[in-house]
Order: sequence, then C-alpha cells, then structure tokens
Amino acid sequence: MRHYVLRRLLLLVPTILLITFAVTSLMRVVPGDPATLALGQQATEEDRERFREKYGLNDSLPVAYLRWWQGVFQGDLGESVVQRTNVTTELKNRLPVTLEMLVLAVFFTVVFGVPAGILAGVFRGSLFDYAVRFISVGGLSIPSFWLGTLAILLPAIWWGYLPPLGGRVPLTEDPVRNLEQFWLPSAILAVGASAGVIRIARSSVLDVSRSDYIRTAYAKGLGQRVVVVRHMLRNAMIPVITLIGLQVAGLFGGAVIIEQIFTLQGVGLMFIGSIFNRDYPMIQGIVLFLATIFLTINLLVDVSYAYIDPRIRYS
Amino acid sequence: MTSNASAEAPHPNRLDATYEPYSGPSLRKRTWRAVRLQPVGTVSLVIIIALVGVALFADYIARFDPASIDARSLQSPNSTHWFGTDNFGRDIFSRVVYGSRISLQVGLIATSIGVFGGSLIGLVSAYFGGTIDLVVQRLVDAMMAFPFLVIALIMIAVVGPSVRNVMIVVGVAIMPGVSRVIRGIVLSEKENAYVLSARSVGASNARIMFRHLLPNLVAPIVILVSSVLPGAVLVEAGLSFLGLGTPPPTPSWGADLSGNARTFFQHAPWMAIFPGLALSIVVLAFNLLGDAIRDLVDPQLRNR
Amino acid sequence: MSQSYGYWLRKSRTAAISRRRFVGGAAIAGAGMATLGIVGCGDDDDEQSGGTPTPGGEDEAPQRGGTLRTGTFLDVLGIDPHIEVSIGLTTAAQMYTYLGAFNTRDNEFVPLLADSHEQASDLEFVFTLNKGFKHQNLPPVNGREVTADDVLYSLERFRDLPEAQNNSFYKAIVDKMQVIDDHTFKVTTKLPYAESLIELGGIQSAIVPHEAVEQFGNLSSRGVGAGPYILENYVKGERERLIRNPDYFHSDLPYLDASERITILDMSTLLQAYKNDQLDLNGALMNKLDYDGLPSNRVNYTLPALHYGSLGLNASVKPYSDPRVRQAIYLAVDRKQFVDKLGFGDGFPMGPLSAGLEYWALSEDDLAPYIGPDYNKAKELLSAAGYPNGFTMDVETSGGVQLYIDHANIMVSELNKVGIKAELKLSELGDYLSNKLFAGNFNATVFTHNPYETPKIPLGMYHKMGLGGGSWWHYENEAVSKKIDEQANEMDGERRRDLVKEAQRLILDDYAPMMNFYSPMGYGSHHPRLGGYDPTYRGFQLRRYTEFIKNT
Repeated sequence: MRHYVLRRLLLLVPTILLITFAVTSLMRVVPGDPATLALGQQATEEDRERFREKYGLNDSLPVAYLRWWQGVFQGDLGESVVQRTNVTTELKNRLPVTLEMLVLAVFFTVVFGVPAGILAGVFRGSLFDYAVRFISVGGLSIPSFWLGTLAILLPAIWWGYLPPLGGRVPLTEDPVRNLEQFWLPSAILAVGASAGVIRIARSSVLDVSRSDYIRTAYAKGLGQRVVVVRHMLRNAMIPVITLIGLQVAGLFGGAVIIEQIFTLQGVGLMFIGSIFNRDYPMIQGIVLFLATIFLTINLLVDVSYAYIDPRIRYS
Repeated sequence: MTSNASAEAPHPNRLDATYEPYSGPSLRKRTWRAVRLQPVGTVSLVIIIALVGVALFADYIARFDPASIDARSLQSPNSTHWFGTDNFGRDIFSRVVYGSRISLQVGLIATSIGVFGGSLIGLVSAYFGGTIDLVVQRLVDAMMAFPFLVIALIMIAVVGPSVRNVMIVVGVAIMPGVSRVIRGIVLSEKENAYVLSARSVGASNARIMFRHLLPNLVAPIVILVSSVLPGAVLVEAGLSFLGLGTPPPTPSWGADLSGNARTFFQHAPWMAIFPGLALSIVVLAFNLLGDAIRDLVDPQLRNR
Repeated sequence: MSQSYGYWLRKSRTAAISRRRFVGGAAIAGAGMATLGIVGCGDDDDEQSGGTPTPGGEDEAPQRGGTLRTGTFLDVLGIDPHIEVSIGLTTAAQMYTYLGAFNTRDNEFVPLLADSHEQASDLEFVFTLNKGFKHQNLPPVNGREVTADDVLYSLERFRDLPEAQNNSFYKAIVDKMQVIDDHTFKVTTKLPYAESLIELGGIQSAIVPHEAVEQFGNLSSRGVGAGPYILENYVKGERERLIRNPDYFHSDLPYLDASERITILDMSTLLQAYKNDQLDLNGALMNKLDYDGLPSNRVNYTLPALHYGSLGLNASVKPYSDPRVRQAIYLAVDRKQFVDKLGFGDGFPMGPLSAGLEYWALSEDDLAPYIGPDYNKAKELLSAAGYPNGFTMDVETSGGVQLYIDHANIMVSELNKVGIKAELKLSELGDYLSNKLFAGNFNATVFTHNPYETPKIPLGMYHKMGLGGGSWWHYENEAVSKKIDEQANEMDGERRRDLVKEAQRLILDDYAPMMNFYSPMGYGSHHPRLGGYDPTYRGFQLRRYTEFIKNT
C-alpha cells in the first residue's frame, strides 16, 4: 500500500506535465489570435506583431512551454495578455473568492445534505423520505444558471430585496456583509451537489442498517438513536466523504456560471473569460493550479477506496 | 415468489427426467411487480415515452414554424399561441415541441458515447492492471482534473458549435467519470471465484472480460446511463448559456433558456418558464426513472 | 473673466440641448475654439418643473458635496488611459487631465490644461498651457506643475505602447510634437486632418506624469494625475471610489465629494439595483420595455444610440460582386422589421452613418430610395443578375453575442421573401473575429458595431484600405475611397459635412457591401437628485466635472 501511494505521488509529476502541455498545445490549436482579439478592429498587422513580440507569442510551442516552466519555478506565472496584471497576482486575488464559495457550498451540502440523507434512510418509506428525495432530485433538474437568476430576481421583484452585489467585501473586513454576499451563490451550488450526497448517504445508511452488527445492537436493546449515532454513522459516512471529494471538480464547473451571475470575481469566471480571450498565460496558470488540487484530491479518494473495500489490492 | 412447478414435474431421481429450467415468473408478472414497487418510476417512464413521441411527431404536433417571426411579439399565452410568443414573435409552443428533439438527441447519443466508451476503458484498464492501468488511469485523472463544462468549452471552441459537435463533446467529457466507476467495480469483481476458475480452465482474456465480467456490469451500466443522461441534457443547456451550444435557428430548450429569455424575463416570463419546465420535467423524469431502475436492479435491494 | 470655470463649462455644455428628446441641436460648425464668456452673467432660467422630471443639466445652481453612485456591467480590466478602450477610460478621465476635451456633439474643443490654442495653419496646432496647473499632491508626483514636457511624454507613451489601440492618429498622421517652452506645446501633422483636434482632445489623450509610470510600472491599477478626482480605492472588476481633488486647477470644480462605481456583470441585476435606488445613475443597457417599466419619479430619456448591426458581403466573389445583387439585398430587407422586432417600435432607418450622428448622417428622405423595402424590384434585379430563383447565402457569425444572432434572424426571414436562403454558420466569438471578420474570410457576415462618435471609423470601413489593414469586404471603389480621403483631410467643418454627405451618397449609389440594418434608440435614466447631467453631451471626459448631487 505504501508503495502504491509513493508511486502515485511520483506519478503526479508526469501527469501535471501532461496536462499542462496538453492545454498549452490545445490552446494554440483553438482558432483565434490573442493579439488580434486584444487590439481590436483598427489594429494593423504591424501593431499585432509588436504586441506579439512583447508577450512572447511568437515563440514556438516547446520554447514557450519551457520558458513558462522556468518562470513557474521562480514563482512567476507570467503576464496576462488581457488583464493588465501578473497571472500570480490575479490568482491570488481571485482564489479567496472561489475558495470561500466552494467551502461554503460544501458546508451547506454537508450540513443539510448529510442529515437529510441519513434521516431519509433511517425513516425509509416515510413521507419525509419521499419529500427529501423529491426535493433533492428536483433541485438537480433546474439548470443552475436559472436557479441563480430566479434567486436574485424574484426577491427583488416581490420584496424589493437585492443581495448586496457588486463590490465584494472581504471576509476579514466585514464578515456579516461578506456572508450576506456569499450565502446565496454557495447555496445554489450546494443544491446540485447535495442531491448526490443525499442519495449516497441514504443508500449507505440502508446498506449499513442491514448488516449484522447493527442487528445485534438492536437485539441488545439499544435505542434507535444510540444505534444510529454510535454505530451506523461512522461506517455510513465513508462513501459520503468519498463522494464529496469527487464532487469538488463538478462544483468548480458550476461555480463558473454562478460567479458570472452573482458577479463574484473568482477563478472560474477568469478561466472562462481567458479561454474566450485566448489569454494563454492565464489559462496555463489556472490549469496548473487546478490540476494540482484536483489530482491531489483524486489521489486521496483512491487511497480511501482501499480502506473501504479490503478486497481491492493495488499491485 | 410463487413457484411455477407443475404437478407433473418429473421426480428428480428418475433416470428419464428432463429438466425444464426454471425461468421465473412471466414477463407480465414481472412488469406488473415493477410497476407496483416503483410507481414514481413508472410515471417517469410514461413521461419519457411521451417525450419520444413528441420528438418523433413534432411536425404534426407543433402549430407553427418555430423560426417564423410573423406573429406579434411577446404575446402572453393565448388560444392561438398556447405558450405565448417570444420577443421575435416566434411561437413558443412550437419551439418547445421541436426542442425536444435536441434534448433527446444530445441526451441519448452523448450518453451512449460516454457510457459505452467509458465502460470499455474502465473494464480493460482494471482487468489488465499493471502498466496499462497506471497509464490509462493517469490519462483519466488528467481529464477528470477539469470540470465538465471547461473541457466541453475548449473542445467546442476548436471544432465549432453544432449539434453534432455538442453531442460528441459531451460524450467525450462523460467518459472519464464512467470509466472510473466501472474500473472500481471490475477491480472488486475480478477477485471473485468465478473469474479465477474461468482463468484456471484456460479461458482467454477477451472471453473472461466479455463473457463473464461484462454481464455483471449490465446493472451498473444501466444505472450509469440513467444518472448521466440528465446531466448531459443540462450540460447542453449550460453550453447554450455561454453561446456554445446548439446554434440557431434550431430550437433547443437550453438555448431558449439563455439570451433573450433572461433579458425579457420581467416582461415575458413565459419565454423562460415553458422551456424551463420542459427541461426540468424531462430531466426529473430521467432521474427518477434511474432511481427506480436502480432500486429494481440492485440485487441487494431486491429482497427487502 | 469673473465667471468660474465651472459656470462657463455648464453654460457651454447646455448650449444646444432640448428637453425630452434629442432632436438635433444646432451644432456649432467649424473646428475653431470655443470662446470664453459667451453667455452673459446672471442668466439663470431655473425651471421649476412639477411632474415628471426632465433631463438636460440646465442652469440649476450646483450644490457641493455628496457621492455619486454608478454601476456598470462591463468587466473593468484596468484604468490606464492609454490602454483601456472601454469602461476603464471613464475612471481615467476623472483622474487625469487633458489638453482639452473635444465635444463632438457641438464640434468644439473645450480647454482644460490648455488655456487656449491656435491653429497656425491646417497642419500646426499650438497649445498654450495654463500656468500653475498642478498634479495631485500625492507621491510620487507631489503636486508638481504640469508642463509641456508632461504632454509630450504622455502622447508619446500613447503612441508607443504595444497594447494601445486607437492611436493611429499619433502613429500615422502626426509629424512631430514639440515642447516650445514649459507652457507651450506644438503638434504638426503630415497632412491636413479634419479630426486632429478631436484626437488631441480625445479621452485617450490623457496627460500622465512619468514618475507614476516609472514607480508603478503601469497605470492599470493605480495612478496619480492632474484631474479633478483622486483614486482612493480600486478593486479590479468589483468597485472603485474616487474623491475630490482639493488642489484641482479649476478650483471651483468638481462639485461632488466622491464618485463610486460598482460592477454588476448581470444586466438585469444591474438594472434592478438602479431601480432599488442603490445607484443614482443607471448603467444597464435598456430596451423599450425596460424603459417603459422605469419608476416615474426618475429622469428618463431617450436618444438615438450610436451602435448598430450590419450585413457585410464579400465584394470579390459572386454573386455579391454584382451591384444589382447588392441592390436587391438592400431593397429586400425591410428595416422596419428591425425597428419593430428589435426596437419594439423605436429606432431609425440608417445609411452608412448612425442616426445618432445627427450632424453628419443623411436624412430619412435621402435614404428612402435606397433602403426599400421593395420586394418586386428586388426580385427583378436578382433575375437580371442571373438569379431568378434566388441563391443560398452562407452567413458567418457568432453565437457569442446575442445581438449578432438577433439581427441575423430577422435578416434571414426578410431575405427569404425574395428567394435568398440565408444559412447561419456559427463560430466561437474569438475564432469569428480573428479568422473570419477581421480577415475578410467570409461570403456574408452579420455583426454589430461599437458606438462611433465621429464619421472617421464608420466611413473608414468603406475605404479600400479599410481601417488600415485592408477592406474586410474586399471592396475597392476608387470614387468612394477618394471621397472618404477628402473628407478626412478637410479642415473646414461645414465643407467636411458636405463631403461626408457626398460620401454617403456614393456609398449608397453603389450599394456598398456593408449594409447597416437600423439605428436603435437608446434609453437612459437617472435619479433626480443627480444634477448637471446631460446625456447628449459628447465630451466624455467632462462628464463628472459639473455633475452634482442635490442635498434634498
């Protein structure tokens, strides 16, 4: 097992190289010239050449790629072609936004989704069970960008209440106002994730509830509450945690759209914008960062598989 | 379960006994049982069949050409235009009817590509293990490090937005996730006794994979299809929101939910409500149907 | 001159506005300078209007203090005046000063840093700078006086920065720029260029101190200037706050204590924020329905917008090389459909120039013979050209901009009526712009323009050299190109206007391969507590100079 983990950690390196190289070359295949897009309709070819020179866009693919890595090891992810700043600075500014939203989304998912799923499993077949399952699946069925739009517009139209959008207040400055800005987008993100979590939690509880040791516990005369909390929960939670780990990448995808609707200047919004603008350095920087995070999470999840099902042998 | 053994069943010890293999209750009985156990799933199935019908017979059901801008704009639902008209004067009912085709196509084809391709990858990778597994899983990891939407975005930007490209792109984006699930199952399964015994008898790898392992994957694959399909339909909506989905003038629920429907929401909410309802109901139906199939098919759950 | 600069500025701004609707003020012809003190003192006609508030920034007495709250849906990329071409410019315009601000509505150069200017000849412009015009009292400039050296430095920076756009005047037209002495600056052009003062008074020709550039590297997120506002807080893409510069040279300005802007990317939310009184000035693009839904206690107004959509044809391929086919297309597309379906009844037919360029554009009567609709004539022309049953038109465009698709949908429906089957071929936006539109790589294409305040760019698109890189339409009509050159070099305002009109007629006579659909109506709104705001004024740098908040 230890060998497996070590090997996977070492393999992170070529995987990241593979990903970054793939993205770098893929972006050059995508039709559209950054200089043309940055300089607009009045630019002449000379203007574009000067721009390309300044941003190193004329370098061949291998040279550009190596030069970029050189910068990375010095802590400099490059100059954005469009954003007038350094990629590192942009990322540093945007990371807290996306992070806070994702953390809050996971928080809501866990706080609401897990108990709901557990209780639905414990009280299987009850009205509560059906209600929970219906609501969670229902939430999954509305595209998140619509949920977000309605969540902003309907209260504004009905009650004149608009969340304090625009001009995000950092958490450190004014936590109350900050949470006021973040709770709604995070909740909407959580809707999609919690559907899966509720389902897994519920079926996991059902699985565990059929196992011998639970039956023994009931046979011993322990009350339902004790059985659930002391015995069931711990084992039932393993697949839930696994799922939440897997869902982080999906949450980020949802975050991209939500950030636009709620004007949260996070990494997701920048990522999409950079692809549209062909902002190569920014795309590479974000990809490097995301890839590292997600690969690490995947590794943790895979390792946890082995603990869940001892029959799995990683050779 | 009641036994179908007839009164004239041959005694097992008689030498001329021939056995009729017991095949269980009749198809009708099984179907009825399924309906009884899963009323919600049944309703969902009916909805989906209706959807297929609408998509197939759209030409007869729709009342106007979905691209025609001759009517007055922004009419609220009335007797001529059951769902009202949009800001160009196009009949929304007709657009919703024709839009079913895109959602169905994208859903089914993208899901098929994704699930079958991904299952193959997962099966092969897990079965052979070793270097193949390592390399393939690294590639899968690489793809899974990206959110669905971003991969789709990059691919569409390269190949251009069209219905066909959307289907392929969504399908390819589904594959890694599917392959991981199948791989996990195969990893467990291949340690089972029947695999070992098949191998000891000298069965070839291909035979083991496709004759022995694959049938055990049917249930998970069916479950995967039912859980992936609604997601695929929603991704098309998300791509349309970014302007990369089904290109006009083809009506699609996702495209009709973005752009002008949002701009005019306060003045003409019906522009968004009807495609949105259609999308949500169909996605919901697929989700619930998937749940029902899962409940029926999962052997551990069957005997509760 | 006993009047304050602010008083003079307000008077000159309101010279030609009308109340509710912009009908086309009496533009002051000529590129000569505005004379000071043109209006007698004590000339206040305060209008006590009950009922619906009206726009116009009239002669209300300004009040000091207050914070103006605005919003935008555009993602602010930065605030460097020499790089930004969009919303960031409005911030820069408040922070930095200019030789002057050119008001393209009334064709006048409003002096700011320059106290006066002289045109020694068609080619030479000499600016006499105000003495004692100081930078803001902040490091690294610390209140140093602005001199002609600063002007030279700034304009050269605008000319030479690789990221700069719209600087072709300084690159191609300007021959030399000279510092005559500390307070005298001279610009000489290579040839007589009608828009010289417009460029020199343009919102991108800001005067920036070299110390700031050297210290900060670039001016994209920080800066110190000599303008009426100091940048107090800037969070990219989210919000910014500017406060009054107490040391501003024209000392009675600005009236506001502070000016704030937030970014709300979603248009409906931005409009809602304005309606909820979180903003004093609306920043969202509205359509007619939004406009009709505005609260009646706001100042709401309409005025012709300057943006528009076009069909572009490749004049080097059949069938578009045949002017009869182009004429058929002009006649087959009913512009009224655009006004009805996109404008909900508001909007104007247009020729080569937007109806919002009132001073320059041809009248609706002049346009009528060219723009139909006349389906029968169109079909006749198509037959004569050899296409009795119409033909298929591949239209390149992008789904990335909803307006492209909106215009294209209507056009497709119209062309269908004469047998032209138009099919949309969509590409992703970046691909479309760099590889199709700018590269002239299409048979037909539909797209929309940014707003243009002068005829330079919209006419330039019909020139055989296009905007510099060649004609996107592969259109090489010598007569049209020559006329466009003539008007670009004509220094006399009225004569230039005649030439511009002649150019438009030539363009229409040949049914040039860029056909503009219609000129939309623009809608605006602000809270009545905002005073001194004139939506028709087009010397954009001056916007925040004379606005004020009424403390009621």
